[in-house]
Order: sequence, then structure tokens, then C-alpha cells
Amino acid sequence: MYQVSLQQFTGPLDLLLQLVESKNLSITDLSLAQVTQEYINYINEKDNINPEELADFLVIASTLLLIKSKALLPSLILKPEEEEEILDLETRLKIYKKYKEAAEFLKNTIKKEIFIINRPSWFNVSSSFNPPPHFEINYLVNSLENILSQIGGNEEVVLEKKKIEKIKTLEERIKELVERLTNNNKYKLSDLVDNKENKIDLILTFLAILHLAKRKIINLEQNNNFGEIWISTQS
Amino acid sequence: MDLNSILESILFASNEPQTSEDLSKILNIPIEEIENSLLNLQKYYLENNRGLRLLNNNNKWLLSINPENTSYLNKFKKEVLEGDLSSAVLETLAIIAYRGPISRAEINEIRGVDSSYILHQLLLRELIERFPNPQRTNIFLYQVSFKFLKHLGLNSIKDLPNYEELHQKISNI
Repeated sequence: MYQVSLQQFTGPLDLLLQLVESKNLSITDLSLAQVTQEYINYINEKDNINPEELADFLVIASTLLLIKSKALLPSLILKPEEEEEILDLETRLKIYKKYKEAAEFLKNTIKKEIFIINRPSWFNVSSSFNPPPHFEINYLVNSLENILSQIGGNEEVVLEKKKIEKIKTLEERIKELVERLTNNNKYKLSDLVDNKENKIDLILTFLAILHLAKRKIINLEQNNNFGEIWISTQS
Repeated sequence: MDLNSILESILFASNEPQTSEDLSKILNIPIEEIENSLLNLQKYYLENNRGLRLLNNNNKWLLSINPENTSYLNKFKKEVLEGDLSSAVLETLAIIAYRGPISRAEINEIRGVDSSYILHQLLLRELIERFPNPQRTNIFLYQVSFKFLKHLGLNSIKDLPNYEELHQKISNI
């Protein structure tokens, strides 16, 4: 596949716009489907994306994949909110393009260094004590409380903390099992699952033993439906 | 190059009397041409009944306003510099009262808009005063003036209602 080389991009939309424009395409779902692979390659290769930005990149990548799936599978029927997501990305990209062009225009204008000089306000007025004719101390209090209520005072915004756990891959689980299973031995499946409460762990282990059985590294036995699955290693 | 236009800009922006000699020397244009152009401008403002007038006093030229409009300007000036405070001005004054001494940048940050013009207005009315920040002398700090404190009948800014609590809250922003 031919790779276009891009100048530095400043964010997820910028990268997408540059990819579309490098192919001289206009912004449509079809053109977005065409640049999906390159977009994902760029994210993969760029290792200094900070985590906050990365999330934005991934959100757009997932929408692109959706667009691409739609282009590849005409029979695929999308949910209304997915259709909306696609339209939303197109609209955002079009708006971003306009602002990028406007920024370019501003940059060139500033380069010309044509500045306007203002006159200072009330240049020739000398200061004198002029308190407002109608004033009460409460005006100050009310005004300040008004500001505080608009800004929200000292309430801190606390975001809910959630941890994302690292998910083991199937390959990793298979490797673990191979190391653990010694020759000429018999194991119960339930004993091989480290954390029985964890569904993912259970499914991974199950898939792993299926895989190992297929490769004839182990034998599986189940004496009755829903009964214990026995794993035996071959010598 | 339009000499009338150039001279008009210079006289407007400098806002002080300029001699035709200086203008001639700096612009590198013969003095006759400068004077000719200034007379043209003067005539133009008068004949078209513009809001500006070009005054000529002993070879010094000053751009000024049409004296017929002075009373309107005074009325406007009086409202800004002597009338009741607009809510934006009051807001700025309240921030300075409860948070002062405070820099312009900090005021701008709290209000989310530039406050230069309002600060200038409050200084002209002597409701606030400014002094260089002892730590960074290139930055001014603003606080309520003694005159205004006295006018409010307060011995100290801390006598403002609910001072401790509101000072704490506005300082946390």
C-alpha cells in the first residue's frame, strides 16, 4: 500500500484531514473509508501520543472502522446512533477544515504586521474622587456572590476513578498453561482457572485448552453434560 | 501615497500638537506640501461638518472635536466617570475589594474578559489605587482606595460584610 508522508499533525482531526486532502478527496464517508487503514497505522507508529489525546484518536479510529465496515459490507445495517456518529465525524471534519483555513489566513495576516494603533481612553482626563451617587456596601457583596455562584466557588470537580485492567491475550494464557501442565498428569479445568469469579479468565482458559487440544498437546474428557472437564497431558 | 490620509492618522493617534516642521522632517516631505495638506484637511472637516476639527495654533496642529458636540461628549464622560457603576465595573470592584491586592491578570482570569478599560475607569474615579508588586515591580497590584474605604464608612477592608468567608472563596478560584 502506498504511504503518504505527512507533515506534523496537531491532533486526531488534523491527521484525518491531512490524510483525506493528501489524496485530493473531499470529505465524504467513502473517502473516510479509504483512509481508515492509514489512520490506524499512524496511531500505531506514533509512540509519543499522550494518553488523553490517545483516547480522542481511538474514538475517531473506531468511527472510521465503522465507516469502513459499512463500505465493505453493504448489507450491514447500522443503528441510528451509529449513523449519527458517522455524520457527526464528517461534520466535525468539515468544520475543522474551515477553522484550519481561517487560522492560516490569520497567520498570514499577522505576518504582514499591519497593526492598528488605538488611542488611550480618556487621555486628557485627570483623576478625581468620583464615587457612584447611589451605592451601598451590599452591592459589592451581591456582586461577589454572583461571581462565585457563576464560577461554582471552591467546589472541586471530582471525577470518578475507574481502573482499566490489563487483559491477558489468548496467546499469553496458552503459554502459561503449557508451562504449568507437566507430563503424564491429569487436571480439572476448574483448578486451572486462577480466579473463578472472573468470567474473562474462565473463557480465556477454556479457549486456550480448546486450542491446545486441537494441536494435540492435551486430551480433553467430559463424562457427562455440564460435568467437570478433565485435561490430561500426553507423554 | 495619500498625504492627507497619512497626516490624519498621525494626528489622530499621537493625540498631541505636532509642528509642520517635525512632520516634514520625519516624513521627508517638503514643508509646503505638508502645510498645504493640513489646510486641505482643516477645510474638509469644516465644510463637510465632520465631528473632528483640525486646530492650528502658532504652527502647531492638533486634531480635536467639533466644539458643537462638546456638551454631548461631556454628558457621556460624566456618565462613565461620575455615574452609577455598570454591573461589569461593580463586579471588578467587588473582586478587588474582597481579593485585593490583586494583579490585572488575576482579575482577567476570574472575570474571563479583559478588564483594562474598567481598571482605568476605576483609577480615574479614584475608587481603587495601584502600586507596583514588591516581588515583581513590573506588575501593578490593585486595591480599594482609602478615599473609597472612608466613603463606605469602613475602618478596614476586612470590615466588609462576610469578608473572611468570601475572601477565602474568591481566593480559591
